[in-house]
Amino acid sequence: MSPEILQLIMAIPASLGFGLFFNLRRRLLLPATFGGFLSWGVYLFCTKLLEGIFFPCLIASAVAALYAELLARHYHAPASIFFIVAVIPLVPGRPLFYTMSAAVQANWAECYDFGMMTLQYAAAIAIGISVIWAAFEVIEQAKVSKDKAVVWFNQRRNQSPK
Amino acid sequence: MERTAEKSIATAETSSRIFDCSDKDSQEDVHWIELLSCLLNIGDVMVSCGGDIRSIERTLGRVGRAYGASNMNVLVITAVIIVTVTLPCGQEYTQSRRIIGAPQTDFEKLEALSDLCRQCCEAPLSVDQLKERFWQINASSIDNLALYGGGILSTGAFAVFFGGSWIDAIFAALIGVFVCFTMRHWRNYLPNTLIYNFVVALAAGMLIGVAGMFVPGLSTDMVTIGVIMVLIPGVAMTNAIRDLIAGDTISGVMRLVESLLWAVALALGFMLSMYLIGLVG
Repeated sequence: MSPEILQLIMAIPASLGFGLFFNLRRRLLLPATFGGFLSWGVYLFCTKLLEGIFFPCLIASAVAALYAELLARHYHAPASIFFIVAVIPLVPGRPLFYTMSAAVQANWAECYDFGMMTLQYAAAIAIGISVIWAAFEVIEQAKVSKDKAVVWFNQRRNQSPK
Repeated sequence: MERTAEKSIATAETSSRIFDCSDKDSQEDVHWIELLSCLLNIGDVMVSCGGDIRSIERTLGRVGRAYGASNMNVLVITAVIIVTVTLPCGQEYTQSRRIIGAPQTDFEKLEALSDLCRQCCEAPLSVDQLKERFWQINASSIDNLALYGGGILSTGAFAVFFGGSWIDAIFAALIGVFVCFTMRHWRNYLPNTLIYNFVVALAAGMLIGVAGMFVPGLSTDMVTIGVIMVLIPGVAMTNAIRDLIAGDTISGVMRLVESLLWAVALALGFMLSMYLIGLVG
């Protein structure tokens, strides 16, 4: 089995484990777990098309955030609970570990390389979610303004003499 | 501090009697002071369960307005909640709550509380009912099966995910059990998250190192990576970013700095254990 397929399969129990670990309601476990599979699938797909790790990770994180927002609206639950389970496979545990291990061995060149890699992953995840959340924030604000406008319009109509 | 709080509540009660603003249309039964303290309780638990600031502020504001407040002014920071409610007659009450204690991520509780608030917005419960429901939800805790099962699954799966073998997965799962055990039983003795993270990372790192000496073919790197994934403060970091984007800069920066320090403590714990094992091995 190629390592990519194995990773894709292992992303499922990993995300499921995190869902359980954070006590996600049983009914929401399955959709949240699928988010982890989805985000890692998107990441793997994008690494085939794009150079480096930054942009694939950014796109995968944005997809995870979008998926979480849609689920949140469907299940009337906070979006971050879905997002955290979905984004777990992208968390740079491996480069963080190698950064530490290089630091212990006083191998500073390697420490710097892995440190930068960790930061790239972290920044990509942060920017990916920022884009989606900012977009949803704008939509939410637009909705609130529209509701206010409708109320104002109705009040004016009721007040105006016939 | 407490005396001041008592005094302010007492003043608020007297002033409500003096100004007696319970006109017929406003809900006379709503005891604002009790409601406010209940809202503060809800906000407090939602923050420590891993909620983001913006949605907690919005939720508390909506509930207050549903109970008949003409304006709700809510400020939530990861360390404190301040709520001011303005009644239709212009009377105002303010209460605050310091949030103390280690965060314990519990999405079921978070969801149940936001659900309770949503119900209250549609059809406000009586304050006593609201209190009762809150304490009911707050009494629940993560059951052992979910905590340990989740820990075993994720540490084991991540060890394989990052390139480890099945033996690595089994050992990572065993250390995962240890980490979950510390979360359940050591947390109360180590309320400072920085120290807790350092101690747990050191202990887990030592266990992994010792296992590596006796079990041939065990890749300690992969086991450690699997365990790190569970300990990384992912929820706090994600919420920090969310708060920063939403414009809650103080909370966002606080959480970001906090979670980075926690991550550094983890790294230092593992590094020290690797160093000590290196001395022996």
